Amino acid sequence: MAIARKRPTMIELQPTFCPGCGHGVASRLLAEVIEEKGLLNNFVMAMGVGCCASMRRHWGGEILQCAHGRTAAAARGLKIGRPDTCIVTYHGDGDAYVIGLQETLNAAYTNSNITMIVVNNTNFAMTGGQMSWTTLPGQKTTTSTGAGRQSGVPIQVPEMIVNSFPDVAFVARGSTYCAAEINKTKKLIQTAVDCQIQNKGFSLVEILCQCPTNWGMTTQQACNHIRDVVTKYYPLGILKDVEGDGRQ
Amino acid sequence: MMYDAFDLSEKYRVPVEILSEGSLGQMVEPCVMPEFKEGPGEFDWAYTGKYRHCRAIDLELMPMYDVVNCSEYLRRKHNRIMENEQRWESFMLEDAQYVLCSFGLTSRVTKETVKMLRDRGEKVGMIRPISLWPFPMRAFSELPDTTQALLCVEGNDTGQMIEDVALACKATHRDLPIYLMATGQFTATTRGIIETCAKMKAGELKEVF
Repeated sequence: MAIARKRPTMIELQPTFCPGCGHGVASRLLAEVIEEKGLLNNFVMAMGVGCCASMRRHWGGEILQCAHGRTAAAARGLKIGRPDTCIVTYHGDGDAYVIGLQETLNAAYTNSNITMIVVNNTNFAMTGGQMSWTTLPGQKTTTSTGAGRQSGVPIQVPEMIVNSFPDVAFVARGSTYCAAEINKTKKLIQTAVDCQIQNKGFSLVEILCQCPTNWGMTTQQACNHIRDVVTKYYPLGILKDVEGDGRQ
Repeated sequence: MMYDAFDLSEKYRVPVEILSEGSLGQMVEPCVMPEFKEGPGEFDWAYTGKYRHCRAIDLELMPMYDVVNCSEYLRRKHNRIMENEQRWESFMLEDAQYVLCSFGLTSRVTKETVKMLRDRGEKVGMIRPISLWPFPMRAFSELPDTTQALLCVEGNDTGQMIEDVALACKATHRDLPIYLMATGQFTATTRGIIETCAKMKAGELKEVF
């Protein structure tokens, strides 16, 4: 059988994400970008705790498994120690926006020259789908029934960073719900990594990913859910580009 | 200790935590900084950015990912640290009948008290654990045969070290009564410790273990 697309070098074994999970696409995009930019031998990934942690079982390359939420801080340390190496964090919303909000904001405040890839699936997926600060109003999780005022309006960390720290290099939001958005998201990751290589400062790409397992949906329903519901709270596009503002 | 923290952390590849006291930030005392040391250079396990193959494939390089042998690996490392890294200070332990155990700021007052009591001819000594983990069990195996009781003098309200002291005594097969003097809301005074010692000797203090 002909292979339609070459598998990125870094994905060495079969991924172990749930069927339909957006992580598989998001992490592959990162692997493709790193390889295409010729960074395979000059790249360290600071990995958060969460669903992404299973990547250490199938990803090659240099992966630093950080303590939960401390990923951005660890990445800053790596960048200080190895200023010429491309340092990318890869983690979920629970790690970057809830437990590690302080580290994320501190990295943005100091305009550290690192790239953060944050996969937002609006819940703590790895531990069984608990409510996160990214959980949408009325969303049913294992710790919120969807009724009453258990879940609030979700936190928009990229917007927060852009409004609070206007000197950051690149902040954008993409998604993996359809092929067109996947292609756009890849471009966002490319731009974010470019910003780091060119020493322009902090870059963050949030990727809205489907979580069929914890949303109790089929993959298609989950993708439609992102398109119809999640993007209302999390508009897609470029929020800040040091090379020039404006949405996609 | 800060140099040790880095060296030990790199030697065993474990996190090292320095527990300090708020009073350090408020005290004014002359202080001699240690000489600057050169860093050890590159380690073979350092992150360099060079491509490595998947950890799941290379278990010999990364024993942490080897679920079968991981426990044994961690146990060996744990035991090695327990064996090599116990740190403590023993003070005037020879022929001591009563041994005070203390750490941190309180241990300065305790040491002063021990000197004062020794000047009065009372046979007291002191153990000051330096490493919290591994707890210096060996310090307690060196207690002289003359020891009759232990008093933990701690700068907290409930006694946070006394259980470790009791375990250490149990490990050395010594059945000694252990008393507690806990002063969380103020720093212990030499007078207070001397009074507590007197009560302990007179049997007016209730033993904790």
